[in-house]
Amino acid sequence: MGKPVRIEQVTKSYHGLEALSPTSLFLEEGEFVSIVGPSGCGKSTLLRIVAGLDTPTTGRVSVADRVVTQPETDIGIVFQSPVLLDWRNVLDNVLIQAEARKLPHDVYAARARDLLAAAGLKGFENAYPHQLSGGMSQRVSVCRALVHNPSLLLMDEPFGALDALTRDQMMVDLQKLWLRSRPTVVFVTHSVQEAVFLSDRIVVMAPRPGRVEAVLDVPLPRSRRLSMRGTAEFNAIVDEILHHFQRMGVIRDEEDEIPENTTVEMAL
Amino acid sequence: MGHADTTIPISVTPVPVWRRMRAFYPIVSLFVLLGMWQATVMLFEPAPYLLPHPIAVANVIVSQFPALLYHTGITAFETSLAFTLSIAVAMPIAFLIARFRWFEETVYPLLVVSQAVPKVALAPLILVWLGFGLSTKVMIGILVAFFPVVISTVVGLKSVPKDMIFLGRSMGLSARDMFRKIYFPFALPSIFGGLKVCITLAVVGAVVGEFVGADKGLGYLILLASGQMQTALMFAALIFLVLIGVVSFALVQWAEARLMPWHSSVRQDAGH
Repeated sequence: MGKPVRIEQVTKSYHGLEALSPTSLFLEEGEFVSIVGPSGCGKSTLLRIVAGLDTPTTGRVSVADRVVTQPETDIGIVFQSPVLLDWRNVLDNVLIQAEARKLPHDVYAARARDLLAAAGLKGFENAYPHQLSGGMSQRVSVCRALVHNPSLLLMDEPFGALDALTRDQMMVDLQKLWLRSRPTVVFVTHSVQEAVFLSDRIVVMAPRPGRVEAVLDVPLPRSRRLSMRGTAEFNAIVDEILHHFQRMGVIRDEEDEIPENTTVEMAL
Repeated sequence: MGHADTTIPISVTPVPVWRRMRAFYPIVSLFVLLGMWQATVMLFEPAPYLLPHPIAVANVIVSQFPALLYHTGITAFETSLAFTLSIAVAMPIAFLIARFRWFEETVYPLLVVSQAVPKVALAPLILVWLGFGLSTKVMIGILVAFFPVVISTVVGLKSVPKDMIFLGRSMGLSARDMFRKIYFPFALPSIFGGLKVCITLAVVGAVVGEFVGADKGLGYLILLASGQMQTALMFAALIFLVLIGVVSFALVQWAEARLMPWHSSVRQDAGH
């Protein structure tokens, strides 16, 4: 089960330049929270601060009432690239988590096999990373982040490098794996659809300096199916997020750029 | 990706067994070379002290075989010692450079400057310091050969991706485990690149050491044969020297394939 995460007035500056304005956020235990926003909005920075891999300039983060001062270890991280260790086969790549934490090998080998099977990688346990496709590698990386049953799962644009079809499948599989153990999740993404499909709550961030623009609830029932993306409820939330982006000037509709007289001519 | 190359067979024409042997093409080029040598000797009939007949060289190899073998053994021993000690010297330096910024800033420039000195020019000095024994040849070998190992190891250790380091830290790996489980295996392909250069340079170092002062070894034999205008013996010694180079290089390559079967430089399916 997940632990609650409290982010209190966290800021980050690099060489006096503010990358992240004071940000506060509370994640309930077992909650799936996505952070969406354009590049440069500080979402990856925030993720690293929560992981204890980076220190906030001011403010603090606590996981289950304990202030984060060093890298968290009750944690699983999935990066944009799979970051698999080329010299280990799939099973050993997942098991490095157990090795690092001196956990019993046999118990976790069974767990790892079980997870890999659930992620559709049955029969690939002894394959090496160079034999896997991009999607398969990222699945291994997700299994590695979950095998030790962490309370906190952090994902930094995990499906950003995958093609659209693979991404759809990955969303469904991630939801399935997450529902098994329900860690608290921070999921950073560029994709609005992905965020709405997966999340309990969505944090919309704005760039320069990075700040929280809005926080939206996603009251859609679980477990969600891909077909849900066609429903009015789903698209209402997507539109709301896009509306925020439009207001920030991150995306612009075509009409906004065309001078007024042109539209008149076209109408005639 | 792995699944892609199983689906489309590129060629359906069966390749004969003898052409699939990896040794086939190098052997062909060797025979072509020998043929050209023979043809040159027959066409231009140079004096034997300039370019001996291949048969004459073969005769020397047969008649002088025990002596050649003895000198080869000496040079091979010096080479392997120089190679091993080069690794022993280079690795700790490289680890410290990659680990500590202050060490990098103090030692690295010094090391680079030291490489600007032609190490062969130092050989007479080493001879004065260490005498005519084994240590002179090994020392010159180390001086010539250790630098590429330092460079390649530093490059390997420093190119570990940031996310991989984050991963290790999020797993709570100790500094020792971080090195054993992430840094070292990641750097291994690069390290082997350096070792391959190192082994060939170790042979050079050993021979240079024998040139400046020795009473045995292939370098000594070549000098001796040169002084006596025994060009056929010189050729024979050179051939054995080439053998040392080729065999030692192959040994490093074999170790590479054993230690890192996952890597693309070793895999059969990669390249071509």
